[in-house]
Amino acid sequence: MKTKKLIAYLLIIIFCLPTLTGCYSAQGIETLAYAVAIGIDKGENDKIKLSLQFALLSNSSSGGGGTSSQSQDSTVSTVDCSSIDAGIALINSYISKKVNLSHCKAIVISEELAYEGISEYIYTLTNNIEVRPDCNVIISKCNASDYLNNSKPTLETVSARYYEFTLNSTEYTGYTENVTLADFYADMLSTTTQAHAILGGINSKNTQEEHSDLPLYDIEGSYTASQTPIQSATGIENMGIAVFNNDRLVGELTGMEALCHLIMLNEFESASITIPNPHNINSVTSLFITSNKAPKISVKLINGTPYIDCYISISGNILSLDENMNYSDGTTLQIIKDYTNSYMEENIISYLYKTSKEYNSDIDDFGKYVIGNYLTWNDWIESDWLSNYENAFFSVSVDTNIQTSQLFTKV
Amino acid sequence: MIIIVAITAICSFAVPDFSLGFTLRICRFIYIILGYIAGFLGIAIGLFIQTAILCNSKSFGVSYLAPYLPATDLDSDGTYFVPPMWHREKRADFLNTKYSKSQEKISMKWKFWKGNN
Amino acid sequence: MKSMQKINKFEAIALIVIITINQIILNLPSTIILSTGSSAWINIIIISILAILFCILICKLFKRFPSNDIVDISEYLGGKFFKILVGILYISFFVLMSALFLRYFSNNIKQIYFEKSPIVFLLLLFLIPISITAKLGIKSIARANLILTPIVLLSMIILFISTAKLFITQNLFPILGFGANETFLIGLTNIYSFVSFAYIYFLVPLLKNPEDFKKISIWSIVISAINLFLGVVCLIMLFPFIPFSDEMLSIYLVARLIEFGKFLQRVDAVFILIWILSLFSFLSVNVSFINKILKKLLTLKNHREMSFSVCAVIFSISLLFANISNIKFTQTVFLKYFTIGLVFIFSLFILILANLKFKKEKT
Repeated sequence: MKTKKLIAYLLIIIFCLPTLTGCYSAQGIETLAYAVAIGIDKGENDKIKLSLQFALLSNSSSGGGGTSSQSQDSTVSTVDCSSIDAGIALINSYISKKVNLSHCKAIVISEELAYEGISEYIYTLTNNIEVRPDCNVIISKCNASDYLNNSKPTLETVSARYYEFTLNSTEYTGYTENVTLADFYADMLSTTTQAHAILGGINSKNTQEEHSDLPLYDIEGSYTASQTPIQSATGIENMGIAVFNNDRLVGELTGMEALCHLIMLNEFESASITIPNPHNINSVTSLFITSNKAPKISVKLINGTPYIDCYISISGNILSLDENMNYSDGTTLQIIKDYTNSYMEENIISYLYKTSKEYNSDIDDFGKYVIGNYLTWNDWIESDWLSNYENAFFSVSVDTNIQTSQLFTKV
Repeated sequence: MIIIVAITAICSFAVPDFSLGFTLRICRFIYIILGYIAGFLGIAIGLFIQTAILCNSKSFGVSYLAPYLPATDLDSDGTYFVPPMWHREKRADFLNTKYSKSQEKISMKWKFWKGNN
Repeated sequence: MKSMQKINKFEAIALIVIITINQIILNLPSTIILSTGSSAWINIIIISILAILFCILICKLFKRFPSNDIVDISEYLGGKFFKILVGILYISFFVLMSALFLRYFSNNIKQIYFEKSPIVFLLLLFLIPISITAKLGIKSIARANLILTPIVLLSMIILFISTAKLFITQNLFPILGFGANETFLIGLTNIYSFVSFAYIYFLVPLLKNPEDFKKISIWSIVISAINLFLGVVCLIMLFPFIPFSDEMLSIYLVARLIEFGKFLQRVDAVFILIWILSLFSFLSVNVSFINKILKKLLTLKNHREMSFSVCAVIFSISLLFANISNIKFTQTVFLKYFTIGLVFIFSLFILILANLKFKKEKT
């Protein structure tokens, strides 16, 4: 019996030895440096410049405080490297903690690099387990490292939230779109649509433009990122959409064109637009429009060329008030409705022809309405919708339902 | 690790008696060790082995997870949704009784029948 | 009464359903979509109808042999030699399936959570609890399974419903996918996804009421088919690139997309916990079935003690795969034809011949 007990004790000790191994890959939170944004620029000789913006946890948890603590909210490290993971390894050896991409909110790629093709970076980032599929893809008109350096949150203290909130504005302005990495990856590989990304830039005095040659009502929607004339601008600006063909950047869209794009994709929530004032040629009327129903889109192939017909229904309220206007009068509302209809139709048709003829890039996913006509995959591939899109003809009709003004209908 | 201790501490409030809580304290240590060895995988190992052992054990001839687990009769009264006292017509299935009906369908005759009994 | 381990109706259904759920977790829908394109859902409907018809046929053939599983029937047909042959084939089939699924899942868990740990550590961590629970017998495993299966089913349904807002129905077109040939003719080989038939063959002696066998098998095939259909449709509608790319765990990609507002994000860890539990159930079911076959082949008195050695064999075979290409090849080519040959053709052959022999002996 004694030997049996001894053997039993020995066996128990031996079987408990694996518990001493511990979990090899356990990492405490305090040993990780969380990258809030990744920036990729073009370097020389086929290299890239990788920038990582790190959140400084101790400062951001203090909240409030003086301006000095807010300026040190995040740091940016930039390195020349041959690929994203090589760059992360180099930065790992430089900073004290291990880089972790789980909280990455934005991937910023510079325009220069995007013109040459970004498929390998997007594939690498999608393959990465840590990067979330809902982080945003931003194409910046300036260098990505400058973009990251200039993203200083003014109304909040944590820079991670800053990226989330700047893109929340698409819900009420419609001037850009919330494009995630998962969307970009799926659209890049899709045969029915092309990829598109958010357009960003740094707004400063020398990049601002005055579009005074345009009519008064067209000015607000005509800016792209970094052009908006904001006095004493200090930070980044996201406005407009970067249009891709396959994986190369081919062009940009202005704020108003981004609004039309959102309407066509049925992602439009609300926005305020300006239409010409019916009674005064030198002023404008502002409307607040929201989406009423999903757009009815039908795509027909007539002799191989696509004919796309859209019916869009929006509803609006009038924001501005004028002493000549009486909004409780049916004819005034009808006039404003007609003006809005023709304004929106003009803008949407010019946007659609721009994507078709100038960029040949179907970013509104019209291909999905055509794919049902084909029986097998090979037939669909032979029809080559994405190259056929440049021959497309469009007809758009907009129906606006103008409800009322806000508090007063007449002054 | 701390999360395991916190969760088991809160769950210990579900056990009514003090002496029944000793098992929970020992199990807490086992789960902490398992969590240390292999993280989430260790917790899953602990959960699975504990479930299998609970399903295997019997107390006075009745299985431990008695009204839930040999799920023979879906209509029996004592499982997830227990009806009020006057509605429980069947005796418990795990007792293997001779007659399964313990009260009639309308047991509160004084409430539902009109007139005199 | 240690040898009289009987399970009742619901436990039997849960036992069979967990097999298909584990296949869904380990990339079966993605493999089907790779072969048929966007018409995989039509393919699944066709093979489900075929599977249900096959199931009815099997139940009729088993009626003559109450409380006999396929090893006993092969003994009746061809004597001891045939019984040993069939037993060894089925043991190797179960061992291969367990080793393959174990290795594939451990590889994936290693990529996600345990980057620096060696694979041996993970494989041992899976197998040691299995050898402990397999000693408790099929009854407690079936009961533990009955607790876990509804949770796993519910998690699958929650997964599909939570990502429903991202579905694009036009991804289901073109309607014939990669061609009518691939969908209807060559696609019939996709019936290997109903590998649960191999387990149904061994189910009859375990049941408390053998009259329920037909109901149990049809219900379990229907539930498995519904799950498979949901999995395939969800994957096609979510990812337009899925007929071309080969992922490691496509269901994990779906779980990463779940997002409710700003606070409920990145819930894939809960799903991984549930999938680990379902893999435990699957492996313990496999090991106890292997124990039962060994008992019949070697006439052992206490078959549950074989758990350790069976787990050791599974461990060594799961280490045989050198890298992911070996695993994928075995999963998509070798196991596919092995399943079709053994489970569908050979066993049907045995059952039909045994029924003919029974008829001949009766007259």
